[in-house]
Amino acid sequence: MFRVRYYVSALIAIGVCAGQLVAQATGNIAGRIVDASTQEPIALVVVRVADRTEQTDAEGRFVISGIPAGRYVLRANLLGYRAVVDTVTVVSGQTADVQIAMDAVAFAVEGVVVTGYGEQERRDLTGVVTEVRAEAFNTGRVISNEELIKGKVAGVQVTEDNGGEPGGGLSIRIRGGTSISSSNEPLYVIDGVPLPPGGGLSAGRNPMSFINPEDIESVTVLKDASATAIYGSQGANGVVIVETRAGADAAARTGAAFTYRGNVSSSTIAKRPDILNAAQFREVVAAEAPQQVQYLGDADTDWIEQVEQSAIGQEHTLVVAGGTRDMSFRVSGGYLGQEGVLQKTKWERLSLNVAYNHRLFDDRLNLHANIMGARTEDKFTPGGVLGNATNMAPTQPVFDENSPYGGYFEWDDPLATDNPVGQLNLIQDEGTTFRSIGNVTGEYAIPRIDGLSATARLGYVVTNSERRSFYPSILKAQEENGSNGTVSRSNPTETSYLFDGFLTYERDIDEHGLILTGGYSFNGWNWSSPSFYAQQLHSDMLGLNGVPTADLERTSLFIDQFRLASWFGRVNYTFRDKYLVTATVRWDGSSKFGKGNQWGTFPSAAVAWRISEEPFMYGAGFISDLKLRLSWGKNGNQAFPSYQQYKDYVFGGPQAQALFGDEYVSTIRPSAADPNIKWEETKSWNIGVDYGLWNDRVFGAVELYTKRTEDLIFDVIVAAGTNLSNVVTTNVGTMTNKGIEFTLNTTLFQAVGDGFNWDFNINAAYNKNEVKQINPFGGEAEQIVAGPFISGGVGSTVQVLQPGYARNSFLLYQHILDGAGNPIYEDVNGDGSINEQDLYVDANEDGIVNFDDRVPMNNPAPDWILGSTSIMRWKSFDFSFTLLAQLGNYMYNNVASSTGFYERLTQSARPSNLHASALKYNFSTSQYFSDAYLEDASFLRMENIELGYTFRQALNGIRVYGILQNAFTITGYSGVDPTSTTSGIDNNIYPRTRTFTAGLTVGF
Amino acid sequence: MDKTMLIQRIKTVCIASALLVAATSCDITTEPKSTVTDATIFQDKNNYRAFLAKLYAGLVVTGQQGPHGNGDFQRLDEGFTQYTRQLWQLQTLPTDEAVIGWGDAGLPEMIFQTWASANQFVQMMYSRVFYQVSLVNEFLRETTDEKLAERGHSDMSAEIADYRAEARFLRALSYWHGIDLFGDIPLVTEESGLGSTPPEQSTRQAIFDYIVSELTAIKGDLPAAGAGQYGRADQGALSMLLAKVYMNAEVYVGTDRYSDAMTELNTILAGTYELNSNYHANFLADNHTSLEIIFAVPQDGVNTRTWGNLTFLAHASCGGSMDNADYGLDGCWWGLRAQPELVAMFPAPQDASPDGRAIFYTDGQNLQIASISNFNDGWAAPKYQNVTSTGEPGSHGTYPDTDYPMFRLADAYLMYAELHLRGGGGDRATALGYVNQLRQRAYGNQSGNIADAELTLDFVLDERARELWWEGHRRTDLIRYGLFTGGTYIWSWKGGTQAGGATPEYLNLYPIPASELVANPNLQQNEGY
Repeated sequence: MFRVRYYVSALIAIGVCAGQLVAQATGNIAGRIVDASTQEPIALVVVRVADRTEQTDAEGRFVISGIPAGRYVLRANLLGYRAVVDTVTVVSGQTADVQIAMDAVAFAVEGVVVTGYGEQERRDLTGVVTEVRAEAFNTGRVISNEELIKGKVAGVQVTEDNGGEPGGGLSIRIRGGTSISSSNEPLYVIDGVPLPPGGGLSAGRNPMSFINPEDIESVTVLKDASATAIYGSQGANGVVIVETRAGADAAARTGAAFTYRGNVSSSTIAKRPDILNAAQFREVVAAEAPQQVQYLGDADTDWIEQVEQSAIGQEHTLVVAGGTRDMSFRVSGGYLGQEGVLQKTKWERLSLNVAYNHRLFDDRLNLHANIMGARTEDKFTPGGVLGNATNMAPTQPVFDENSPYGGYFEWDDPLATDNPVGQLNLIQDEGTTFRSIGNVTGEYAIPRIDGLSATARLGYVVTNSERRSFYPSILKAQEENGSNGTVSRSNPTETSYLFDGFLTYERDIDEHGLILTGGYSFNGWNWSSPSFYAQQLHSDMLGLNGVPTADLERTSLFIDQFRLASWFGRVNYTFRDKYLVTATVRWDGSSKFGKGNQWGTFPSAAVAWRISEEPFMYGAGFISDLKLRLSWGKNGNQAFPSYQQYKDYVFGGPQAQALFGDEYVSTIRPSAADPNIKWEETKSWNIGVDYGLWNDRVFGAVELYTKRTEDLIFDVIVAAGTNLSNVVTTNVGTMTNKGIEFTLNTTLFQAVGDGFNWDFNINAAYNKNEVKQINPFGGEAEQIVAGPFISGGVGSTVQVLQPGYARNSFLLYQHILDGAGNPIYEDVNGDGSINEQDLYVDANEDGIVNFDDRVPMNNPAPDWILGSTSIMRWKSFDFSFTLLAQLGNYMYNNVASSTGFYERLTQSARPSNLHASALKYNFSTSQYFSDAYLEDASFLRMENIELGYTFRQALNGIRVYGILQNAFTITGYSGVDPTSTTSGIDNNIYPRTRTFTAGLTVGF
Repeated sequence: MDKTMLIQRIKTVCIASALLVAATSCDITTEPKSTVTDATIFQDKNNYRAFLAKLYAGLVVTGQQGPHGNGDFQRLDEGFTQYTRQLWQLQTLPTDEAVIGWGDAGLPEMIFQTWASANQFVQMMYSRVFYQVSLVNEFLRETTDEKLAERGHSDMSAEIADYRAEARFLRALSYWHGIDLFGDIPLVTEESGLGSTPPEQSTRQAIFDYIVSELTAIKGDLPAAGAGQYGRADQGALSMLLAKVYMNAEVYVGTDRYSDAMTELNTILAGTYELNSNYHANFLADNHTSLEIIFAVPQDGVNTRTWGNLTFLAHASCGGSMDNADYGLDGCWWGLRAQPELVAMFPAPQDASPDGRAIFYTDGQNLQIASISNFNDGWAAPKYQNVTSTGEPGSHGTYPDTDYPMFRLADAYLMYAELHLRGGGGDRATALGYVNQLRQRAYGNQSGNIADAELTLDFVLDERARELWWEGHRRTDLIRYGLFTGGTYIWSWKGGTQAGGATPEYLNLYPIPASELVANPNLQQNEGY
């Protein structure tokens, strides 16, 4: 949809057809072009009137003078925007004022996409590369930038690691995970600089949260091996390339433009855990644990309500951009403050982003510098508050004036639940992180050799974070565990530096097109983490800020480093624009690889055939584009800890000494090591079709892929006596992912003038993961317990790795169901007690039900991920929404399993609250390993709905908007959130929020 | 610019970039900085002793930090993985001595004798046994005379020879636990390298022979019985271990070695050990002063912290209406209670028994165990406490100062009596004398002394329960008497019901852990599993 505003004086408007007037009379056209949604001026728009062409400057302005009076067609074009076509009438001696707002094309079919060490025309791609431009990003309160592309790219699953915690970590899975023990996260590359894998900063949390989303131009996902192989041993989980906004291009003329964007938001908990209220609790205690009735208080406390809050957020960004003929710049400063829906949580970010471009030596040298810095301030809700709020008996009061614990009610028993409100208000836990990422890149067009250019890039990532916590001695837990007050601080710092140097040769000779790229990259990473804690404080008065006399003080220091050196090359060849070939190779040497495996080779190849260009397709007029692609490649994953190849000795601490007579002797311990450890290797095939129909009114792609990961890095149980731990990290096992992806983009309604326009995208992806082999020696018995420890019982896990099943499939007993479909709880065999023998299926039919009767079933990863985005405009209104769905993902409801049984009331001295499932199932004893707690967590969620209105005449455009995030979630899952965590274990995750944001954008 | 110049320029650019590349690329090796590799660790002579300390610490702590952190094992709850905690659980929970109330995965199965090969506790014990073996093997490889000479440390060879003997004792101890619990396991020695192919399955017989030959070979290198430093092995500990291996030879290898066992016992009886006049003092926070203890696993509230060993035993024994402060503890864990069959071994009234070894807490507790998970079912038994014999609390409420008494003199006395009755030699009067010494201490007078005719094998078994209950001997004792499985002797919850029932004989051995069968395809699972 486009809008044209032109104002001509009334006199002339009455007018006369220009063509009929005197030919010599001329007038001018002046105008300004802005982005319809951001109201930022757009530079470099090509404006054509008759045979005249001009480009807009940094402020989006253009002037075309000396045009013979008359009525003209005006065309405005820029890649990434929908072309604008309108009429303008030029009157002799007058200047026609034209105001144009251009719509960014959310789903582009043409244009250039980044591919790693270069870029490529989208139509020439042979690999699977999906770009999401800013226009199609998710809207609303976005703290971490992975959220921007949630639901936007087929086969990309974005999951919050801890529900609705602002600033908390996120996980991305591209086409399913390829690893068991190493990271399954993709490689993030920000303006050419890879983020260090793992990060590993306790306070820094999600590294992608430090960029202001307003500064991001596009996020590009490289999915198949042909696209990712250029990143070699880091590419197995896909690559996410983030390009930040640059200044207006150097061709723009002098000037600068300001834009302000701001919004405020309010969030509430979308769903609370299903626990008993005070009345229900009284009833249950009286019926099931009469000996505990004495401990029923007379209060009526909703502990969740006591620790939650309605969270306010605000965000402000000011951008200045401009340039001259040879240079351009963009500076943006931002502030984001967001509270969490649990009290005390607050996340703040101050960010500054400077981008600078300069052309030198007759435009032969193009220098870019980009420096981003952000300081984030975290305030954490103390760990355990949410869990204790679900566990604390609702019949107890919050306060107790006689309490020695800061006036908060506490049970008189050490194992009883602690008062979550006391923890909330007495504990301080916070962090500060400074992170900067930057690069200087020079591209030099080498003289005399047409098409040859050299690029050198120096990049860095520096992170310095500090985590501070204080637990006063009046905290009940501190008194009981003998810590008597703890103050601690840790100060991890990481420095990553990068050098890239590569040559690009680009040449078209007749029908042959060639791009050659080759170069070298070196990446170093240093990390150090000093920390201390002091306990048994003689005073609480210094809080976080100092160490009073303390009877126990401990310090520690850890240093970690890695180096990665790489050579890489790529050939892109096209013949008649119909036959496309890409081949890449990367040769990586890493400090993490053991002797003899220190260098690895990662090749890939792809071919594509643009069938629609063949003569025999000319008849099929509705097919505007049809391209068949085939790719194969080999990638690695080296996101595992350093030093695995060294049998190093770890010094023991002062509390782990051995007694020799009357002397305590501190120890040294050798570590298990695999001296030959190397990368995980993923080989993948992809076959895909790009299609465009009806002049690309409908376009998209279908992909079919298989990925086979070998030499999985895994903490494998060692054969007894053969190494120096129970497990060793080594290359063992094989896993596959197979899937299919569909993408469809279309304009459902094409606007005429400022009429109604509806751009629509839908994507769907199916992935099937299967563990093929986990045993280094190929024996028959292959079942390895996996997954995180659950709450309830110590050291219990409910997941498994087993050939033939998906990674981390659940391993549970099959609970026998009654007629109504509920799990039974009765003494079936009449032996006087209700236990496993009564409740569960004897799966191996050996006459006894024990741990060997648990069977693998389902898994936490979705079978299908579906996303759909709609962007609509009508006159000055815009409206958009994003839907997200997952099918076939399972969740183990650990809140229910760990608290939903009556014996919990008597297991320790003072009763704790129960999950409401206790009333439904009537379990008296714990059934942690029952599949009754495993639920289908498929869901459909309205991720965000946005409505905006633009006042075009005011200043340089003002846009106001409102956004509702998580408007609704439709799911059969009974817990609070079917999506949080990739682990599939729902254990008091931070509640998901429903957020309303209102904001405005003003251009000056 | 002519062509030559251009080529020259290109050359310059190439050379310059090659230099830049070379400058940055030559080194992609990074060695650990906050740990020390095996190439240099022993440049510091103190580290031999530090490594030996780890071999002993392997019996009590679970990692390098204490009470947890930087664990020896991965993927398991660290607190659970403690050596004596699992040894105790495997030896005690499936017997007539104790139940535990927690619902941790696989724990009730230990009580019911319905464990599966995937049981985590079985896996942990197996891993601990071989962890000790692997550490000792590595220690022996790193302390050969050749290695010492290479490092210029030959002056230490006498001292190191003693260390090596102690290391081999610890390996033999773990191998004994290995064949006692798991039967046919692999035999891995310092001759087998690290990270090599999985070892072949050996036999109980071969490992039995290995233990005997090792202990025989090193005996002379250890200090005399009672002369070693507290916490370290001496000939007393060695003879006790060897005597126990011989005493159970019938079970392990089908031949009786009772007289060999008796020979070893004589080393101990000739040593400096003496019965503590206060039975209970062997299980209190100052038990390191008890001259009765032959080999202990020491722990300490300040310097040796763990979630297993006595931290587990003392806390888990506490619950119900017990006041944790009375036992020097910061809280109760509501876990362990005595089986009614154990209580019944003591003369009535058992809650105030004339036998002072009946250390029970009965207030609010039911004798019978209707529900395993209800702490009030079954008498509580605060045998292990974190207070000293004079009533002072230990140095830390969470981590008791009390040491785990692995071998003590009273055990040797009862072994003497049993060995004599089984034809191992010695004389009956001495045997009776030893038994009555224990009973006299228990009763505080001679009223509990038995007559010669009462000294039978069955009596000794019961007396072992009364004297050594909850000390981790019961399963082995019951197996030696043929009563652990089968239907001859039934106790509460044996087989999974309160009334108890017969269980199949194959349960005399624990299964080879399922995870080990994955890691080592050379292994055959024990029969029945």
